[in-house]
Amino acid sequence: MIISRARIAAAMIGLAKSIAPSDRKEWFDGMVAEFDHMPRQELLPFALGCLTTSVRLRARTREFALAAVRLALVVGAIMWSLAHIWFALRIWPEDVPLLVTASLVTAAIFAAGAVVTARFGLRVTTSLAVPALFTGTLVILFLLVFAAPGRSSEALTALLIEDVLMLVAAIVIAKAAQSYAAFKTREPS
Amino acid sequence: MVRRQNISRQTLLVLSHLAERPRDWWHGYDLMGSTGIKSGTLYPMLLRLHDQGYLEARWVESSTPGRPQRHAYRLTAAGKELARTSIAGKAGAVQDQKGALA
Repeated sequence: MIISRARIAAAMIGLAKSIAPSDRKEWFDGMVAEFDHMPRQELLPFALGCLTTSVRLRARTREFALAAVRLALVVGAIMWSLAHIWFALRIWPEDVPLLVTASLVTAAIFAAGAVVTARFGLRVTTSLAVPALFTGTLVILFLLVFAAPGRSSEALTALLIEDVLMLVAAIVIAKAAQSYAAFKTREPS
Repeated sequence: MVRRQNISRQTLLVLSHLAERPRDWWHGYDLMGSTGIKSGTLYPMLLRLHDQGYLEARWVESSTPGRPQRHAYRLTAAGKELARTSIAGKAGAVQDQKGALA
């Protein structure tokens, strides 16, 4: 079945209208109204331009910025979790139970972080990541001071340092996004 | 008072068209046709001018009976002043662009 260019254009401008920020809906109603006054051959490029406009406007909103950062953190946490599982599976045959356990526990923590971030947003991410960061730092200090030198403790310390750095990055990104969103809210429209 | 700002050649072109008949209400499609600017550039520009207080927008009846109302635009007093000062400063560029479209 061949879909006409006019139908594609109508679908595109409908999409543009649905994507557009709510305070711009009237302008997109205006664009839709122009549809009835244009030659058919010009509908598609017109609709494409309207869709581009809509996406650009949406990309500048605080909601989009927060959603993009949230998605990035969720994907990052999942990737980090998978990396830990991969690492645990790789060292499994070498029989380093403490390291395997630590790696799997960390994988579970980051996976839970991804779920929490996806479900509840950046504020909850920060409030959970800060205690995790504090705990991780204490464990590292404990290992550095009290653990007997050895390959296993050094690897565990290195693993925890990486995790702490990832948590710091996640907290900084989440805080920066929240500050940006607060700034956008105060900004006059 | 109109705040001077960097105005792109395309914005200047739109301002000059709107300023030609400042009492008239212009439709988006008409402006596209007369300036040669595509919708993806024109509408963000109109939105920006509107946000800055240089443009007013309203719904007007279509000249064709039975057709829906159209969104139309014209310059505000500040917009007319902006157009006047901008066009005076870049008269050559505006004439060149209008000549290219003619």
